[in-house]
Amino acid sequence: MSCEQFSDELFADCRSRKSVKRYFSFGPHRVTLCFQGAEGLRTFFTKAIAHLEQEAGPAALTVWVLDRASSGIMLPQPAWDWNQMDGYGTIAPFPTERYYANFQQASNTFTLLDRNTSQAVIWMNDVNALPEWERSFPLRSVLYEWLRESSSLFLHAGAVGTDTGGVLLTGRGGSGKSTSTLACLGSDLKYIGDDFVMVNTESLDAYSLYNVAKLEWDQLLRFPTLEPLIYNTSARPHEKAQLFVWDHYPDKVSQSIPLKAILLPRFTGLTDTTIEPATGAEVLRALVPSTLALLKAPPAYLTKIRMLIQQLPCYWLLTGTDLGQIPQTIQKLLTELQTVEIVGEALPAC
Amino acid sequence: MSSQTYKLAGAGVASEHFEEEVILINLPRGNYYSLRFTGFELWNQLLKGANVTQLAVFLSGRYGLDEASALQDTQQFIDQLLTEGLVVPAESAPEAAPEETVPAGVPYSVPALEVYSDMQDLLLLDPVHDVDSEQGWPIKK
Repeated sequence: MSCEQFSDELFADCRSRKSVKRYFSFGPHRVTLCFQGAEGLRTFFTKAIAHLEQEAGPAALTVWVLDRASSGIMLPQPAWDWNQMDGYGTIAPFPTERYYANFQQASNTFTLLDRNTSQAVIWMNDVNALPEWERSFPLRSVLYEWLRESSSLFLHAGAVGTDTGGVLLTGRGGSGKSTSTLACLGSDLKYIGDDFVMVNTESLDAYSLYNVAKLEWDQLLRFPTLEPLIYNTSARPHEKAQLFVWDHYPDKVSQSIPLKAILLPRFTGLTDTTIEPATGAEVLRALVPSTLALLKAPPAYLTKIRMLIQQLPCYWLLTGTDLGQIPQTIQKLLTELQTVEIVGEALPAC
Repeated sequence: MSSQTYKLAGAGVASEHFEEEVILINLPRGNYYSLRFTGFELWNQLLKGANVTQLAVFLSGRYGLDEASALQDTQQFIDQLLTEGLVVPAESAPEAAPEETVPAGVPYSVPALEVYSDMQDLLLLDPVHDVDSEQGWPIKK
C-alpha cells in the first residue's frame, strides 16, 4: 500500500461514519470539525476555540477528530516503516508538497493533512490520556501546516487591542506575556490571545486562536480574583494554570485586531510600567525559539517572521508591580501611534 | 595567510539581517545566534566573499589592530562559525569586493558569536521506543 492509498482509505472510512459536526473560523479561514468519539472528545478539542464557533456552512478545511477509546476506530495498517519517521514524528514517505503526516508516540496521536483534498484527520488512542495542556491549543499543527504557504503567520505571542489598533506581546517563557495580557482584562483593551495567535503579514491583522490564558501558579498571586476561575486545578503544580477567558469574560474577547506595534514585556520589579524602543533583532530573538519549536517550523520561517517585524515599531514593555499601569501604558502608546497615522506619517518600523 | 572563503551552511541553517545585528539559526542543533559589533561587520564582509586574509585586513584597518592579532581574532571567529555549523568552505570564491576600510571610531571588541541554546529544551524529541506494535502502530501503553 502506498501513502496515497493509505490516505484515501483513511479519509473514505472517516466519511463513511457518522460524525458530530462543529464549525469554526480561524481568522478568515473556515474549518469543519467532525468528531467521532464521546462528548469528552468534543469538549477537549473545542473549549479553547469556543469563541470562534460559527453556524453550519461551507468550510475550506474538514478535520476528522477520532478517539479510538470511545469510538473503537483504528487506523489502517501503516504504509511505511517506522524507521522512516524523523525525530519530530514526521513520517517521511508522505510527499511533503501534498501531505503532512505525523505520529506522536508520547500521546499516541496520529495527524494527517492532505492539502490537495483539504482534509485532515487527528486520531488518538485515548483522549483522556492526552496531557492537559493539549486542550489549550488544539489543531495547531494542522492549521500551521495547512496555511504554511499563505500570508498567515502563527506566533508564540499574545495580543490585545481595540477595533482601531492593538499590540502583539511576545517574549520568552516567563517574560510576562500572560501577566500583561490578563492585566488588560479590566481595561478597554480586548483579549486576542496570550500565548499563540495568528497574524496576517500583509494586512497586519492579528487573529485570535485560543481563548485560554496560561499562567504559572505563582503568577496567580498577582490576580487573586482570577484564582477561583482556574479550570485545571487538578493539574497543579505540574502544568500551568488555565483560565478560559471566553467562559468568564466573553465581552473582553475579540476575534481580530489591526496590529500597530510589537511589545516585548519584561518585569522590572519597579512600581511603574514604561516603554522603551526595541530593535527588530531583539524581537526576532524573543520569537524564534518558542515559535519554531512549537510549530517544528523550518528555518525559512525566520524570514516570514522578519517580514512582520519590519512593518511595525517595536518596544520593550517594562512592566511594574502596579498592574493597572500596563493597559494604561499600552493605550497611551496606541493613541500616540494613531496620531502619527492621522497626520499621515508612516509608522516607525523596527 | 588564507585565501579560504566561506558561505552560509545549507539545510537547517538560516540568517536574518537587521541594521546592526544578524540573527542566525541552526535548527538541527536547536541553537540560535546573534552577531553584533565586529562580529556583525565581519559577517557582512564574509558573505560578500572576503577571504580570511581580507577579513583580517578589514579588521586591522578599521580598528588599528596589528596584523597578527587581527588574523588570530578573525580565525577564531571563523572557527566558532564552523564549530556551530553555520558556514562551510566555499569551493569557488564569489567576486570579492573588499570595501575601502573606514576607521570605526569606536573601541575594538573581539568578534564573537553569541550562542542561545534555550530552544534545545523545547525541541526535545520523543523517539519511538518500546515498540509493541498494535496493528502496525507503535502504541505506547
